[in-house]
Amino acid sequence: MNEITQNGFDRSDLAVALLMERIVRGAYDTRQSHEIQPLQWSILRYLARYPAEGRTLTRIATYLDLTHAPISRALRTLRGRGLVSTEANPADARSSILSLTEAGWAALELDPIRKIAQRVAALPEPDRDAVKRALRVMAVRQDPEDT
Amino acid sequence: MPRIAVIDDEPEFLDLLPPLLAGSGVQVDCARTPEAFFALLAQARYDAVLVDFWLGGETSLGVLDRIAAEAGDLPVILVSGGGGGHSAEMAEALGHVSGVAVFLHKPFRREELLRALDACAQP
Repeated sequence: MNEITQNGFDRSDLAVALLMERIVRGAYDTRQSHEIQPLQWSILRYLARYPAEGRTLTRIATYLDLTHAPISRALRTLRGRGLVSTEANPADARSSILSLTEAGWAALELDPIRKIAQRVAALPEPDRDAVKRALRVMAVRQDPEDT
Repeated sequence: MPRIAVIDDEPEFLDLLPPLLAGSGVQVDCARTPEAFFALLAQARYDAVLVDFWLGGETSLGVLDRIAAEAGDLPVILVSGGGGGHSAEMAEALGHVSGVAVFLHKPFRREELLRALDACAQP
């Protein structure tokens, strides 16, 4: 029997959380994933999706809701690994346009969240819709301890 | 002439849209509330609707669901500049889970909006 604890969840809820954690951790459990940190993956995804005029440090920082400092550090690492290149911004001399290099595009082919997306895509349509609905609610719900 | 609707509770944003699209041949109808938009939708046919992620202090996900239920073939362009505990990255993911056609990161340029409208026009 699943007894509700004083925290408001039962053993099966904890099991769901554990399975989610295992699926995500498993996706990141590759050599390539260890070399690229989650924030760096977010930046690579951004650079792949957005046109040149939006590929500046400031735009990436506002998109990820972070300050310039962590983005700047992550970009330094990505440039050092040859995954991101920089060129002058013709519209603004104070900023640079960032782009993925060929190696950056190749790295994105190994993006860990693709493994999770494949698992979602393999579900029967009703289960796929149910996962999307449930995750949407979970993602929007504010943690009472955070408010 | 393409015709789009915009739902945003910020009057400054609604004031910016028509001049931003001036000369593009796109007609813009503005709504400050979802109710105002659905009243417009009852009277006109739109090629796309721009929806802000935040409406009246809440996410617009419920509005997206209602658009899907009442006008399932109407392409939605979701816009967000982040804030409210949800980054633009998060808003984009929530939008795509909810079936939006395109996400635009605020502030956006005329060219980005026109590209988004082109994408909505693709079959």
